[in-house]
Amino acid sequence: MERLMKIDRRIIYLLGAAIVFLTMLYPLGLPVAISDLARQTYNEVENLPDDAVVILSPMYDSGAMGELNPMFVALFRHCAERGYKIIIVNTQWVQGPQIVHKFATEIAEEYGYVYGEDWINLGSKPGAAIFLQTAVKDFWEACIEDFNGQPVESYPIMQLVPKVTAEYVDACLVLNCGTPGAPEWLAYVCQPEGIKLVIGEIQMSVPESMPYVQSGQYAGMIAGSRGCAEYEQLIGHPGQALKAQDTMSAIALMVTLFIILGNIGYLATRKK
Amino acid sequence: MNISTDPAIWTQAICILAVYTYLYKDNPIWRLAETVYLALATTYWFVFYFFTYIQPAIVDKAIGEGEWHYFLAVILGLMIFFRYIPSVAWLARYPMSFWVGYGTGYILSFEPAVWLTQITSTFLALNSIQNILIFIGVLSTLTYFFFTLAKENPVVGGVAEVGKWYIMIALGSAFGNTVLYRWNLFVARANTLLFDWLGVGQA
Repeated sequence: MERLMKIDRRIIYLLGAAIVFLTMLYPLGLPVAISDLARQTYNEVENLPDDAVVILSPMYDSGAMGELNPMFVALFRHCAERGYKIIIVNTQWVQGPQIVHKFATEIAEEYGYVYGEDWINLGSKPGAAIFLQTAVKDFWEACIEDFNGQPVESYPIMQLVPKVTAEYVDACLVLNCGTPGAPEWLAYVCQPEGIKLVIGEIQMSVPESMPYVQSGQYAGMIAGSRGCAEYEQLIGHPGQALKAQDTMSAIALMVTLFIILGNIGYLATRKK
Repeated sequence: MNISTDPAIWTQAICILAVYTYLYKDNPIWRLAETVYLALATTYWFVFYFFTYIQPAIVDKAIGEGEWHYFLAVILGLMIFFRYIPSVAWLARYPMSFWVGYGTGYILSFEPAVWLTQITSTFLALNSIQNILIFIGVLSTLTYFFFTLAKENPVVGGVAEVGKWYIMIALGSAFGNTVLYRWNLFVARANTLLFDWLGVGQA
């Protein structure tokens, strides 16, 4: 029984890697049920006005892109399908807008979206809370130039949004993986201005964000990779997250088995 | 299989494999990858901060447009380096004091609204199991953290014990989610290795 307590971590890594590669190469196609939360989140985005302007904020860097890139793709695609104007901007997470630019460009082309008219990438802005508060007062002054270094006021889409207030912006869709993140958007922009806030959250922080959903401060939340898989099904475009669910289910099973084995070993040795 | 010919994909793949060699044990390949990453990240951030903070504020505004008050912030910022001169190290406290005071005031003017909404959202009608569980959870967890109340009192101790269970369940949930998140990161990297680099399943 003591052996169960001393399983070499490399065996666990090797087994985990084998499970990941095998389930990716030979998907099982396990069904993914759609939760109420995913449906609520989908409805919040779906039911925005037809001429809605949304801010899509990729508040993450390369460390979280595995989970948040599929969410960005799903949200951008959903907004494009509905014909919303999309403004990509974040603060502090300098890699975010660079990472998502490729996806945004591809999806925009697919839907005939014109850069500067239907969507724009304003890049990453320094300042965190100060940037957000400035954006509420004067969005152009806060952003100055877009991803390509052009003055923001030269684009037609930016003429629609001189300030980030409920008058000009219908929803903020924030992909969150740390600080600054969705809580800052909530405190400095969405709650004071009464703008709807929908977030995409990494799996690790889902329990932390649930109270905000429960209180209604977050109108919806894509909860981790699993939540994204559900969202992809709702918009009718299965993507990376849905593909990963077989692997994640197998990994969850493996981790559970190792936890049980470890506890059996612990209980057996404790009795001695 | 259709192995990629893109140098960027090859660089990604080699870096991923180099970093994961650490899982076996510490080794020179891992240390090389770590050093390269640190050097790249440091340079990247230096350049980013120069072009997003220093150039717009100092070069463009202060020097270019003659808005000299920006230099006050520069002087205040540079004062932080006084900590390396023992005789005047106390001067380094001023920028820090300014920053702490400004930050605290700024946060307190916005964030309480968020916290208060969190508190009011626990004032629930006890008409569903979920609401009852939230009600019990909030009260018992708060009781657990009332360190001035004697836990020997059976009522207080009992409620605090329930609170402890709530905390354990919350921590378990957070831990479980963290484990899955870490594996998810690996899945994304495996995706790069299998499909982007090796081109498995591609014609």
